[in-house]
Amino acid sequence: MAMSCTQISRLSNASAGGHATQAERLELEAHLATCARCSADHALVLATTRALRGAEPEALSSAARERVRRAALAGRTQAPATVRRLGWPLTGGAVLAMAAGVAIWIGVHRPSSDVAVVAGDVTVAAAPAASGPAPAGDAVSVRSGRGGEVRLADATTTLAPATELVWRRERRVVELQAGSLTVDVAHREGQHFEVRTPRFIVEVVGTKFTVDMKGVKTDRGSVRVRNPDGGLIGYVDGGQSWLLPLSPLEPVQAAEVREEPAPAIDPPAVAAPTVSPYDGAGVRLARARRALVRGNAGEARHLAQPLFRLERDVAAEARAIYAESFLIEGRYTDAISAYQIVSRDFPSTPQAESALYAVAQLESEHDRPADARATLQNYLRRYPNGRFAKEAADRLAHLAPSQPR
Amino acid sequence: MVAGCRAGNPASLEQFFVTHVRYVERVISRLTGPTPDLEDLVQTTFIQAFQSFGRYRGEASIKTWVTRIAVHTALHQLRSGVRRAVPLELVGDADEPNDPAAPADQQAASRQLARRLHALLDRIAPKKRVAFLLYTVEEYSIEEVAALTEASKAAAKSRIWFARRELMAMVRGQPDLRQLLEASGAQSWR
Repeated sequence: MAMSCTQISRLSNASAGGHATQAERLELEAHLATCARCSADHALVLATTRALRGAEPEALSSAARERVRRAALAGRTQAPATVRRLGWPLTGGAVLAMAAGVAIWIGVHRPSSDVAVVAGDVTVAAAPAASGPAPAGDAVSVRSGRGGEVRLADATTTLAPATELVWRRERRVVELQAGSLTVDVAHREGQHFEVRTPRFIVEVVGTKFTVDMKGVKTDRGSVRVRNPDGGLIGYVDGGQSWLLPLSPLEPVQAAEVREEPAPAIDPPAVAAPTVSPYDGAGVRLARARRALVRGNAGEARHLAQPLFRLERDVAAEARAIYAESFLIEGRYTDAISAYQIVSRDFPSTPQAESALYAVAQLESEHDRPADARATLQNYLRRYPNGRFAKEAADRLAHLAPSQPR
Repeated sequence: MVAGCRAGNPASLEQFFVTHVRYVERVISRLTGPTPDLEDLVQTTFIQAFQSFGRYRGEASIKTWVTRIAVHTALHQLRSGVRRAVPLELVGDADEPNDPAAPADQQAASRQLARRLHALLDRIAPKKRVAFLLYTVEEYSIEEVAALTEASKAAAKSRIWFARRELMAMVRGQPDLRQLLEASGAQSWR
């Protein structure tokens, strides 16, 4: 029995997704041969599927992947500790606070169930109505005299003396107005926790960190720092600090952008990209990567070069982008040289491992088997359990010593 | 490895992470489209997986199990309606350079096309969108889509069908996009 156009459109979908049987495909083709409308629809479905499937899905950079790895492992191993930390204040904190006689609770219009003074000289009150656009009752004002500890939803916050903040419970945002606070909060799916100051925003990725009006120090995990307008400044991982620049309006100087021209490498064949005054290293790296994705290797190099002398993680990523820019231009010798620099100068970064394997790949694919063998052996020595260890061993096995150059 | 993960053995968890992270990135990225929250979503997936190993009974493969968590995470994100528009750092992969054999402008055009399609997919209900993408792009069977989205087979089928119909209607409503797709289709058939 001949199929209807509706039935055929289901078959078309199945066929585009690779699910149709041989018999179904034949039936589909027979119908398409006689129905121009279904034929056009099927062509469009196929083209749409191919377009969605053909574009490489976006992936994390190796640095981001490393951040995720650390945070995920920390989330697993530290969760019980967090529970213990929260459990103690819930059971004994109030008693201790009363016994110490230093916790002060000032009545609020609507008692807040998600704010609790755990210890110390801390005042909690409803925030003035004019303090934000949030509905009445959403905001709570918290002030510390000599410092103390407060629970804000699932976050434990330690306030330095003379700290003032507003907690907006609906959005899980702390607006820091003075002083500093240390936040210990677990990552929660779909829920951000932010600390906002007038000049920057700290977004929690799942961590413990300290914020004052000038910057942030991360003790554990990772936080993301943004400009007040939402633009990414960068990530601050455990053990790292970030401070506001002395003058946030000071633009990146043109001379700085152009320094360190690449020896034996063409100057960028593009106009210098506009540099925002707020462009931090993270933003520049992101823009360089986007330039790479657009296939604009010159612009990517131009954006990456000024970052070569910054902190290790940033410099390693910038160098990796620099190397990749040659790769997309098909300049394999330059790419090999650039990747070798990443591997040699940033040995403890995730980029170093990727770079070393990239060198081996390029050497083996571009008629340099002896070099490729040496690089692969070097890779396996340095990273016996590395991400590419299996591929490296396989590739090495296929590179016979007698293979002609 | 699974036993080690259940016991919270850091080396096993690490091995699990290394084995699956790229796949998880891919699945989430396919389902959500370009998003600056990819890092958060991948992290959420692994934190959930690490915390749920005790409940993994081995009825599905470990890959299917983590895929289900990734799908759930992506669905949650799509349903939350929080879709930040500007992808900053989540472009390309430092470890996997672009295919040098493919012309850069072709790669850029391909990405641009996919982005436009994902912008249209943003207008489709998340459950339908996810079922459609799992079936047509990731090539999961109806049964697998149903299992991954915790739906019945009939519901999965229906969602795929309606998503396709809505997407095609939107594509037809954008003549320039349709032309681009037809041109790309013609190229790929040559």
